[in-house]
Amino acid sequence: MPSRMVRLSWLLLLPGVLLASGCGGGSGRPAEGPGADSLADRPAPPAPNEPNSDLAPASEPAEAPRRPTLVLEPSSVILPADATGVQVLVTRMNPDGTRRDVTREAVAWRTSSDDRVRLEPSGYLVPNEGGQGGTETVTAIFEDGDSVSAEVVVERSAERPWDFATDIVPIFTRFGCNGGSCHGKADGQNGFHLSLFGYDPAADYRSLTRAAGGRRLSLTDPDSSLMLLKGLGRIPHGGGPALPSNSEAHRTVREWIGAGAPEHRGADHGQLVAVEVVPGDLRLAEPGTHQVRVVARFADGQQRDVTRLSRFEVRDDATATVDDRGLVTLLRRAETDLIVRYRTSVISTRIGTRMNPGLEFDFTAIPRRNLIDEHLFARLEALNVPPSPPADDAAFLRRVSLDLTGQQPRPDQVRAFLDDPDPDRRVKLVDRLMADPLFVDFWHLKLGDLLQISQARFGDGVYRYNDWVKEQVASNTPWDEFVHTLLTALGNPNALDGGPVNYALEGQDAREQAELTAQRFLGLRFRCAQCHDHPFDRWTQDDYYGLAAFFAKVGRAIPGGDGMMAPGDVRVNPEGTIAHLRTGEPAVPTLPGGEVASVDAEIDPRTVLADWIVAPENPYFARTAANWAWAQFFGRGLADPSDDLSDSNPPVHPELLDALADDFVSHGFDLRHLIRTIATSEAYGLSSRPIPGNEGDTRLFSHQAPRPLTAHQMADALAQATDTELLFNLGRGSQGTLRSSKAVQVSDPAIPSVLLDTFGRCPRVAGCSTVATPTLSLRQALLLVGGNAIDDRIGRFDGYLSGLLELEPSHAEIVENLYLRTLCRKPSAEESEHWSALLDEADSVRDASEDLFWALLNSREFAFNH
Amino acid sequence: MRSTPPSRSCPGPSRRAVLRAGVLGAFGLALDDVLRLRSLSARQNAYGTRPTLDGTPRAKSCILIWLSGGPSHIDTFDPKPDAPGEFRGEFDPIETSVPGVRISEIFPELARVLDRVTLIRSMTSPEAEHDRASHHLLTGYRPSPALVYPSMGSVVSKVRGFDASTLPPHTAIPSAPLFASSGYLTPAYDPFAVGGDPNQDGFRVRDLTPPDRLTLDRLRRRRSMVATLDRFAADAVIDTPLTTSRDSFADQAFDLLTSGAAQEAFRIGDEPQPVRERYGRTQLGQSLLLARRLVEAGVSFVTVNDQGAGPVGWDTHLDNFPMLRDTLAPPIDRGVSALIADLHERGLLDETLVLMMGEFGRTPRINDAGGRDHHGRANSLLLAGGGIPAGLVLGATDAHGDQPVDRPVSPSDLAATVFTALGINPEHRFETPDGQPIRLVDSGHAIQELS
Repeated sequence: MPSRMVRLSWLLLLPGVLLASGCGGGSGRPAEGPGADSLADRPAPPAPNEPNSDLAPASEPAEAPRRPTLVLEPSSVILPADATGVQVLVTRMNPDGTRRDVTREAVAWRTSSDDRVRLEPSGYLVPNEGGQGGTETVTAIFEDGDSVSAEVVVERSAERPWDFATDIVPIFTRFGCNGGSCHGKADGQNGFHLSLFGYDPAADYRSLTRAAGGRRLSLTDPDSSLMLLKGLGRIPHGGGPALPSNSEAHRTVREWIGAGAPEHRGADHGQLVAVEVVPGDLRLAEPGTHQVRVVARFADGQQRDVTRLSRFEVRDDATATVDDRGLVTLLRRAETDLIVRYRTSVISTRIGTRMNPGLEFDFTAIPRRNLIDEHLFARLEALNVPPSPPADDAAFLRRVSLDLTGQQPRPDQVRAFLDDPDPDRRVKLVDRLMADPLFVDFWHLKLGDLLQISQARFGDGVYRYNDWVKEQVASNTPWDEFVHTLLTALGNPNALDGGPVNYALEGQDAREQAELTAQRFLGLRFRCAQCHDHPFDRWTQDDYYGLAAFFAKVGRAIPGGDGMMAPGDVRVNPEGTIAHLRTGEPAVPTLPGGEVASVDAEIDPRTVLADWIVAPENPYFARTAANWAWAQFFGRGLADPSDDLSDSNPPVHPELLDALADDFVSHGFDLRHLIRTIATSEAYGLSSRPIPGNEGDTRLFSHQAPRPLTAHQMADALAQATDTELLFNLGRGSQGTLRSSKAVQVSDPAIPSVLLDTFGRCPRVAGCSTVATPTLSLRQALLLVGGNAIDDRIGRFDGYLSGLLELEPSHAEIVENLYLRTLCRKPSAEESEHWSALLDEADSVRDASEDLFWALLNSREFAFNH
Repeated sequence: MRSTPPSRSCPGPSRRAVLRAGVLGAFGLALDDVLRLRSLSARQNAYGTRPTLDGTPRAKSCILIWLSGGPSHIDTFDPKPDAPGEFRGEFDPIETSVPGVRISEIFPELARVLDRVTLIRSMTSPEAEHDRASHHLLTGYRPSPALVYPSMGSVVSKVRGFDASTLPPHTAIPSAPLFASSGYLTPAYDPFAVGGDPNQDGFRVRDLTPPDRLTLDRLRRRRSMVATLDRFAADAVIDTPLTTSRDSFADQAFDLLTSGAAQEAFRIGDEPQPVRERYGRTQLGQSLLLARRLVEAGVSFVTVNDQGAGPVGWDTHLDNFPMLRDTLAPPIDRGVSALIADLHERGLLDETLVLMMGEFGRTPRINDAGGRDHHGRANSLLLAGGGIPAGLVLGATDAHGDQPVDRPVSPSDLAATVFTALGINPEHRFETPDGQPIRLVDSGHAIQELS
């Protein structure tokens, strides 16, 4: 994060920025000069022709003579005999941390010898064939006389080493040969099967050298190898020409075949240890192009440039593009992620610019209440996107009441909160709401959505399951314990203590159990690993069946003919297996990522998986919970969709998500602590009204966004505002039919309610979003305007309005009371005057009051949590 | 580039229908007159002079018949009688009203109207998973992690706007397929799901008639009060795609509730019995009839979502042949052939584009369960009306029906074709909420042979 001083000097570097007000205003308001510009909606300005240093005015602060520095990466590199080349990168690093790629602007590249290496204009350095080994100094020279050098050690040996997994397999991945829509799909393509993205090099080697009678490779005449003829498209190939003729990859494959197509020869580098994209967080001064490098590190310490063996994709191709050699073009002032695959590794890295050039905002003046604010505002400062000011008290009260308990605040609560002078009133409010029994109901509902607890899925066990989850919310069972219990419970799902046993009754078989578990608790979408062909999903069929194998020994009741579960215990079935689709063999329990789990024959393999899932070190578990909780308060996750934390769906603020997850872990997976941390953050309490500089932001959380009331919130708000009862039939209990008047206590979607259905409660049948993001529809508007949802309630003689009018209030009092009940705020003077006048003129005050009441409940402000 | 002027062959029926409905409407004449006049003038605008993003419309509206689950192309429109048994399947091809063109025997009625239809046998997509393939076919874009694209229906409804008719411009019967949604556009362009079963006696759309005690006068007064409240709150609850969509839905609801004409369009019970019989007394048949009534009344894009007899729809992994023969094909055969003939007889076929497809074809090789599995590489679809040439068969697949060997057509090409027929330039760009311009179609081009 740049210091204030750095930021100041950065501003000085920009022409046309007026610094009259300085940056110490402390008002928290941005400068609204002509340079203020909205976020991310400007066309890309042309990249400057000159480095920024030339724009630096003479009036640079004397104490900080900062100029961009010229950097050549890597500054020293070893080129082993089996390396094909290295991407060299020359960058002007600006003092504010932004950078500009000038590799292609070098007017000359000088090398200390004539024959060892040559450089392509893109900065790709290639050792010359037949060249000598030795140390080479490479110098890039620029028009302004600047130059920068690096040292390259070129290693040569009589015979280069070969490793099929390192030298050849990445080529298959790079050119899409082993993707899920080609030879990488489960049964291969036209008889030729490769492991998906090359996760099983040994099998690929067999497939290439032994299957098909060895015709795929011709050791005596490499060019007549079927693999090359097809790959180059010289004979008919379903995938067309996949490998560019005469490319480096083509030459490597030919050379490898010519060398006898060895699986290993010479030095062994060992396993792939890490893959890194350089630069890791690419911040450009302006939209423009920048080369990235991809470096793989192996167990023996060797580092190899694999830029040309990697596949690149940007998440948002309207913000940036990338070519197949890793040259990124940022098209506009915005930010997105570059996603890089090398073999089975997927790495994402941010690319973007600072926004709002010329906009000055004092980020230091924003209060930071906890770690969320520290991380969020640091990011916003780095991007120069100002956060909106805090929401006013009435809006905050309504928002946090709806988000914590599903209820609107009552008029007396609104008045009390607005009159409370305590500076800590917001925190106290959060604590009061979290102690409300309806908090338990509302979060039970949310967890019920996550776990899809419904009669349709669980039959009669649904009652025990619901009771159990609600008890855990009420007693605030730590999340790790909660999930561990769910994943390992055995016994009778209908017994008094059988609630969590129901988890094992879900899905058709072990595979679906694995899919659901991975998605809910780890944010991983394993379903895709069976068949789909997205080029950036790393989970393989082996991972999929390895995970499913943990559930294979769950012996459970078979669904009866009527679709209901037959009664029966869930117990360990020692004989249970799940057959791997490709091999047909029983799958071996394997943790995602490849670690085979040792499971004693007697125990439920799920306990081993559950231990791994809830371990504090698990990279997915806490982050998935933190992201889920975040989404409940902001309508979208830090990673969005919020149930997808795969490598190809990076969160918008990864540092924040990590910190929130770490905090969750260090507080013993305390859900209430997590919820409270979010609810008491300054970030959550921001206004939904944008300010100059963050108007276009829909992803950075620089302001809140109006969210439609959820089905349950809407139903309870309508009932509470009108003092009418909702009546839900909750089914049979020991005391006869149970009824509830609170929608948030209606968890099971089987309980009929037109209102809840129309406003989009989660049906909890098939896939359901992890966040209840209500979808708006014409049907809802019809129900409110033409249906009985509102009209029946306001006119009732036992309803609120009748009672109010009996007290013979003044017209202004009618208006104020109706506002407090519906919008949870007092009317402004203008509003009060307007509606009082309307009541004054009305033939029937009752009719006119009904109309106002109705209109308030049909207003935009009521419909949204803003 | 197409130069045919907009179809003016039959300007009458829809307006006549509106007039009749207005007079017969439930709310008396005075108010209706005003609303009807307003909606009439809006409609004339939309169909007559209003430019639609620089395209020349041939069709006013589109009926999409969505075969949810993905029908087998080999067992419907792309028979392979000469393929080995494990590919060919149980059905024989039959002759059609187009000499030399044969389709599966499960569609005898469709075979008779094939001269009014064009078949595409070379639709191809790399997607073979329901949700991803549905996204690809319904939007013309492959699914992206960053963005959900708007469906063709949502694009059409955005271009045509809400003033073309009081009715929702994008309507689904009875429910909307996943990814028939508005995507990155605002939810205002989501399809209106009619709900219920049009084949049931007393079918009506819920909440479409206001409570008796609420006079129209009072409803209008309340509407203006809501407008005032929203104006007061404009600063507190800012305009976003969600908030403006909600306003738009509220406006549509007020319009629908005060328009007898709009409500008339949904009254399928007013159709003569022989017409209802002709479409078949099935949910699908009556859904198609309702679709015809809606396009007559000015709806721009109607999706009839055929989910067969149950949740799996056309997803015949098991018992493909009896499922197709006994359950899935007969309502489609009768209903779609009736729709095409009926539209033709009413002079509406030229201005109505009919499109029938599912998200993918099915594997050529029959699996162990007598079913066929997902197969994106080859898919067949049917087009009719909308001014496109009829009696054509476009493209072909290889001997087993595995992939196109001639004239491959991508979902993006299809979207461009549909947009072009409806007078929408596929080159046009919409903006996402954060200001990215995005082309209406990915990289496809309208199919030349059909323009």
